[in-house]
Amino acid sequence: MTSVSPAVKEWARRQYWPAYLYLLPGAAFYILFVLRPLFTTAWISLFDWDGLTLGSWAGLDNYTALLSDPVLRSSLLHSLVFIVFYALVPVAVGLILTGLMVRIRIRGLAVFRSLLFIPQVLSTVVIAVSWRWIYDTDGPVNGLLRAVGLDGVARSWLGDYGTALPSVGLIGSWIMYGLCMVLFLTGAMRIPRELFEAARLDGAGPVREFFTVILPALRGEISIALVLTVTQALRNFDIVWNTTTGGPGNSTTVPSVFIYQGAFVTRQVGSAAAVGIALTVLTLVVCAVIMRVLRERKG
Amino acid sequence: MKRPDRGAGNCARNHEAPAACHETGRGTPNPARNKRTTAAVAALGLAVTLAACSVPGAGGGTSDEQLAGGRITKPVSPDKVKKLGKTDLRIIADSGEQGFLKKFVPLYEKKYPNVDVKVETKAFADFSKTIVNTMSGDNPPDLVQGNQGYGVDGLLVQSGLLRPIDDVAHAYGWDLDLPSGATSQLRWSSDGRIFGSGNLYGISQSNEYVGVFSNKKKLKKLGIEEPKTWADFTEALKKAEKNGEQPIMLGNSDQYPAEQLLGTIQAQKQSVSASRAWVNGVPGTTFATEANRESAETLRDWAKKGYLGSGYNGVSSDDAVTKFTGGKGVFLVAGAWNAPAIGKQLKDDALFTIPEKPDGTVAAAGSFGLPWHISAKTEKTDAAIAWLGMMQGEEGAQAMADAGRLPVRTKGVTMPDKLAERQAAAGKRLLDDDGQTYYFDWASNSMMTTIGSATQDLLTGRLGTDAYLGKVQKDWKGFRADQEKAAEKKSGADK
Amino acid sequence: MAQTQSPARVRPTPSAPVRPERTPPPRRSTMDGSRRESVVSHALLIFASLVALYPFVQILLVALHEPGARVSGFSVPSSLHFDNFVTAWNKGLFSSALVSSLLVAVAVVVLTILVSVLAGYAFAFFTFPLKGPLMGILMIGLVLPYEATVIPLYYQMKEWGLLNTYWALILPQVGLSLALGTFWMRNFFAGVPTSLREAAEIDGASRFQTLRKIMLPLAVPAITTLATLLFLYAWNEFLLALVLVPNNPDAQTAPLALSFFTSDRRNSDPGVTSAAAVLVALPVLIGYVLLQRKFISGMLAGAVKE
Repeated sequence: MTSVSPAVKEWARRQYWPAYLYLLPGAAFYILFVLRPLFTTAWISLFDWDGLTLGSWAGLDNYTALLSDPVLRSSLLHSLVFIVFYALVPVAVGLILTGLMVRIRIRGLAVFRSLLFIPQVLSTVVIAVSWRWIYDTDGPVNGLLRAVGLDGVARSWLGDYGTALPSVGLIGSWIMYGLCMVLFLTGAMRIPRELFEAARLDGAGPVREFFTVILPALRGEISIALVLTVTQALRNFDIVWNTTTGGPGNSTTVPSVFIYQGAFVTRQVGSAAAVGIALTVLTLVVCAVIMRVLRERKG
Repeated sequence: MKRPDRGAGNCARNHEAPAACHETGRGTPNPARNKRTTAAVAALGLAVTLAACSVPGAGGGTSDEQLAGGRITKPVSPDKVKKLGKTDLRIIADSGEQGFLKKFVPLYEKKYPNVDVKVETKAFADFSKTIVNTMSGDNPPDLVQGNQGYGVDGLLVQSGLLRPIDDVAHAYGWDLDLPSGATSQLRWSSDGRIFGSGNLYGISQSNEYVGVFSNKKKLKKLGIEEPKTWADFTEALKKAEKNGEQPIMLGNSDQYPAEQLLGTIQAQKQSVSASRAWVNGVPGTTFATEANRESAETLRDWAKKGYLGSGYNGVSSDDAVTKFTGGKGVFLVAGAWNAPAIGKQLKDDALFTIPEKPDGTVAAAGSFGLPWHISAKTEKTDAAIAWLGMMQGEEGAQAMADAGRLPVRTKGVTMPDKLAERQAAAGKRLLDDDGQTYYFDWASNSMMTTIGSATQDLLTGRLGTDAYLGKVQKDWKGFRADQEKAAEKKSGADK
Repeated sequence: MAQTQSPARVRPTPSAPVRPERTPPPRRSTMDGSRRESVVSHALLIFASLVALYPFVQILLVALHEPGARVSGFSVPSSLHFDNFVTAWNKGLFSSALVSSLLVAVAVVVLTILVSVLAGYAFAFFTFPLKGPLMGILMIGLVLPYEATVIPLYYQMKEWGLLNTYWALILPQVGLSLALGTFWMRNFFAGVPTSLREAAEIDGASRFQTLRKIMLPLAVPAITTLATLLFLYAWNEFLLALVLVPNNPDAQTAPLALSFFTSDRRNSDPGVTSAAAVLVALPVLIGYVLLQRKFISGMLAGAVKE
């Protein structure tokens, strides 16, 4: 081995090697119970396998089949729509609510926080049932519309090709906005009072204060909230399955339906694994972009 | 998971993926560092991939193994079961069987006092997700429920996990009791790739089929008689519509109810054997038959005329039942298994029938309930056979009826209420005429989704009849091709 | 009383008295605005809360109907019946399921927080080789649709003889949760002013001591929120529980008990199903409400320390 260059020495000196000791416990869990099954999944995705009997080598067939399936491709589009409803809407609503709660003294803050958190606590299956009733032809949404004379707009929201996707998406918004709010509130509590006061001294109104003080301070929370909600949006399964089963037609099918069905119904575990891997990569890319964007603005 | 030859090369290829990660690291242009990065990440990759590289799954197919517990020639006597000594009989069943099991287990334990029955029930969706793993595990239950079709029963047979029970059927005389055609839903080739013929792998005391519910009071108000024939039924639909009523209540957000409605129409037009042949995957059959075309057109026509109301694709099948008992819709075309929920609300006003075909016979989308199977690995074959024998007999049938369900055997059985009597009578006729046409979604593993969403498209006119039939047939064809490929490979491997 | 002392409320700190002297002018000028603002804000919050509440109330009301009533949608029962709850409790074996769920969720939360705090601290403050790539690999855990990996996980657990044990539920969930946990903690630590850390270093505290003595107390609110989220996820985890504990009714968790009703093929009873859903949600909800106090005082503590 040639003599170590000074640059390398300098580099090595700057490193804090014991850092790995801090990572070790987490790494053990992560490698054994996340990465290992994940690599097995990637491996399985190269096979034609029913989950039980001996599989047979398929190479990239599962992936090419996946690309050529029109239903799967449209399901990806649905997922992108769900990002709007699961991530963007709740983050926006959560931010607005947080902005309100930080600025003034809220009476019964604890009560509001508890109430707004309810959607996160309930089982998604039951949420789906409850919302099916809300969207029902004879349900409250249509009742309200008819009461204000909008009979023409009333419809079976989940049964209509045009409205099923956004209707399911709104359920996602409903589930997520409380979560976003709780995340943002935790972050907002860390904002030093001085910042608000300084802004007010400058004569900033609520809107400017929101954009100059709250928003920049919450960048970290926003990126975590977006990653969480985007992931949920792309993985979304329970809600779709229990409200529309992917219908009408294929108008609300999402990739997770393929994973679920492949793994447990049609027993095409290899192909389900391929969809899973592809979905992971896609989510990873989307989330990386989000984090990159939010980080760059900071600098 | 022992690995045969191939993987080594692929294994190496697998490591390269994580190694690529170093490129995303902040770039100090330093070769030493990069080398180390690569090495570290590769080591990590190696650590996690070590186990990953083997062909997934285990070699199945114990088809030529000996019959668990040996062949039997006559019904198992309590004395023979006694020879097992004090023992457990472990059962996993659908949670829908709870009522039946509550009645039946004590009867069984009384007759076979040395056997202690241990039951575990799971809701259907959970049950069908886990049953294959459970059966292939180290400690499978002795008796288990499956599900007709490739997804569960087929896979269990392919893996050699079930004991064929032709000897049992013969010894107990089931082959005389049951219409021979109908048992095809429980038969498989020993490699599990051909559905509908071969060994008998399961049996069921429950009879499930789709029929027409109606409300006596409502019919009276509209001046409609309960329809006896299909012509009566279609006439009644017209009349209901003219009177401003929604003729048929449909809740199709689960996607299967419209498929069953189509099956009900199709049972009138297609011969039973032709329907079954297609579901069983007989080569050369097609979904695009003249009768099916007519059926699909009828269904589309009904939807267009508003017979099915509006918004049905957003209503669950459960909610449809609730709406129907609440007075919406004149008829409900649904499974007989909805009777307890409907009977509770409508009491004696609840009517149920299968409209007769023009030739005077009856046929309907239907099958036996979830079949019971004996594990190929059980050491308590006699106790398990005794269970099946007793279940298929009068005591089992009565227990089924007492639990509010419809037994296959109705002779000497007292049904709990009027609605159940009506259903039992219709069910008996259906069996006598050998008229169960099965369900379309058995035809392939993906058929439930394919036909479910396609039928929604048909109802709303997004798919024309021809395109609809073609779409369903395409799924069928693809699945057949897969099955044949798998069967070939298996026979190749056996040589 | 609330409005008049508006923004200064969170700062019962020694330094607080200084500021009000400086702030009067803006405060007075915003007072009328702030009253209007307060009304609007409260109205919006009440609306948002009602929206959050409606589906839950709907479920609760359905559950409170007499047994066998087929209700769908919003319907107030003529009299309260708890029979559905009793049925759900008994048929779903909820008494043992709730205990199992609690056990699993607590174990997952505690283990995850332990490892995440350590890892998050390292990622936030230390320079070490492969930091970026490791962070990237960690992100996979955050976005993984584990429905796809659950079957390999099944075979792995089977091989290791962990099927049907609590470990089969706890270990993978710790693995999946620690990605979120580490990101969360790193985010928090990165937001802590470096001056605090430098002060500790000048005092001669080791890095680990800095974590324990300075950072952890500061992190209480962040950890509480994280714990709440992790607890929720662990409490509601269904698929792993279904697949990895296929055959042990004693280790069955609450979502499985609920699924016993929701996945029923042909005997579903909306009343009992709703009751079961409430039974699963209620303990978490009550816990959350009780935590609120601790939660908010934790936040205040955080604010003070800054």
